Amino acid sequence: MNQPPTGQPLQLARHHVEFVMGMAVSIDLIDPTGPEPLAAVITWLHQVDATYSTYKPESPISRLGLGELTLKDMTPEILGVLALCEEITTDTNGAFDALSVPAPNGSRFDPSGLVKGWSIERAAEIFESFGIANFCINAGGDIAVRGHNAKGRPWRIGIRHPDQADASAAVIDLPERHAIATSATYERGAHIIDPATGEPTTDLASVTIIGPDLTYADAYATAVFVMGIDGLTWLKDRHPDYAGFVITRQDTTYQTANFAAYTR
Amino acid sequence: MNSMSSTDTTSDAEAFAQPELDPRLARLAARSAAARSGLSTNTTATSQTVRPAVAPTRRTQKRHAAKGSRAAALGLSALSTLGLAGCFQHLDATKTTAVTTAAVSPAAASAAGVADTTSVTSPVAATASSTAATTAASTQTTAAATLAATTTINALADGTLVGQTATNKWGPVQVQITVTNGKITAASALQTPSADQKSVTINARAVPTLTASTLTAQSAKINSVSGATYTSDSYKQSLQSAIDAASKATTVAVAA
Repeated sequence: MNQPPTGQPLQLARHHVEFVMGMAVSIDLIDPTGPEPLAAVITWLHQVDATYSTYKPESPISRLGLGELTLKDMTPEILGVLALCEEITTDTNGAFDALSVPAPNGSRFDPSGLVKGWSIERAAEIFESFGIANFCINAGGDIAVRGHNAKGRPWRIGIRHPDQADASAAVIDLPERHAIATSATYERGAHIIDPATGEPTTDLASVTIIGPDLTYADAYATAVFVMGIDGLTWLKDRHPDYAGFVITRQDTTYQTANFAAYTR
Repeated sequence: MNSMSSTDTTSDAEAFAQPELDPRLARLAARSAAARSGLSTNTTATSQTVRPAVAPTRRTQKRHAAKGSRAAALGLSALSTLGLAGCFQHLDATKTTAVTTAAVSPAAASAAGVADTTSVTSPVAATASSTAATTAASTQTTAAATLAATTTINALADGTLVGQTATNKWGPVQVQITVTNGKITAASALQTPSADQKSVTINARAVPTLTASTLTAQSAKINSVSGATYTSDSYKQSLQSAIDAASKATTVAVAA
């Protein structure tokens, strides 16, 4: 879309992997652009890391959780994120709760489950502000897309098979302005904690949520993981614009009725 | 929530000084404050239904701006003294909530389905049958158990197999599987109960769409992979990293 300034080589496609927030963020840009949009997004992601990381004891979120700072020390942006966390806690009846998650910094406050999806949606807005229409951002397995892929087709996304890292359990065509998030235990062990018991959840191998906003898709994936298979019913009733797909530890799959519209 | 301007502490302080604190933040502060004081607060986790409806600590947030502010102040005090650490000490073992328990019964009901699908997807039919039988016996007889019986009767010869129609209390169920090289490579439900709206609702979780666990050949066509957040190390071995590497090669080739 945007033509690069004169004198710079036109780049027909851009693929970039940025290691930030403890994960790999893979970015596909389809349209010709200069370097600025990518640079702006990379700067943003590192800014998010510095602000919200619970691995960094000096981040404002860590210092809040550890009691070194108070809410009134937080920026409006952070307060907005925290308010969103609380909103989803209410909505999920506590299945998603940043206040109950043991954080790497030693506190029991970890909004990372929301921050990742939220920050990627903001990154998408940054790309859009540069007039970029077709792109895919994959933040360690949680994906937001705009427009179409290099072939002019919907972005095609594989949902990782829980037992085989190189296999897909399902393949999705993700429509314009949609997101897909997967919560699972196969990468980092049983790290999804049920706020009600304080114990790791064990029923499910993975939960995938598709919907219009990665902020919510990511948080709902965590919540449904905690709720168990019944979480799909909760999702269907409360958020019919989101679709859910669950794989149990025995490799049975369950899905909401609207999920089939996305599968190939 | 302007994402690009997050460092203006002056306006931050001003925003927070407003008497009407965001009720969600007031609630967050109140919950952490209550946790600090050791009260057994009604967190949302103790609600009895999955519907979000009434937030139990709502009394601190809506009735009175002043009350909200007090609650916020209490929360801030807690945050400033003890922080959020140990917030969930109040959660004792007896507080198993509806969120969890509600999930147990349907999960149990589906356990037979789980087992039978495992058996279907296992290349060893004999082991699979016994697994299914054991699990089926330990749970109530459901459509899933019936399905296990119908599907495991068939030996895993190559081809497309259509199971007998089984009827559960919601209606008829019939599955079809495709076997290639002795492994199930596809499975689908040909018939599912959908006579009335209630059945459809229940159907969402009662009848699994038996996506086989052996589907492996689709990775070449995808643009990206959704999965659990990988660590930096596991990323190197991930399908996504292979896709990234291939995409980079393509990008370079195009640019050159």
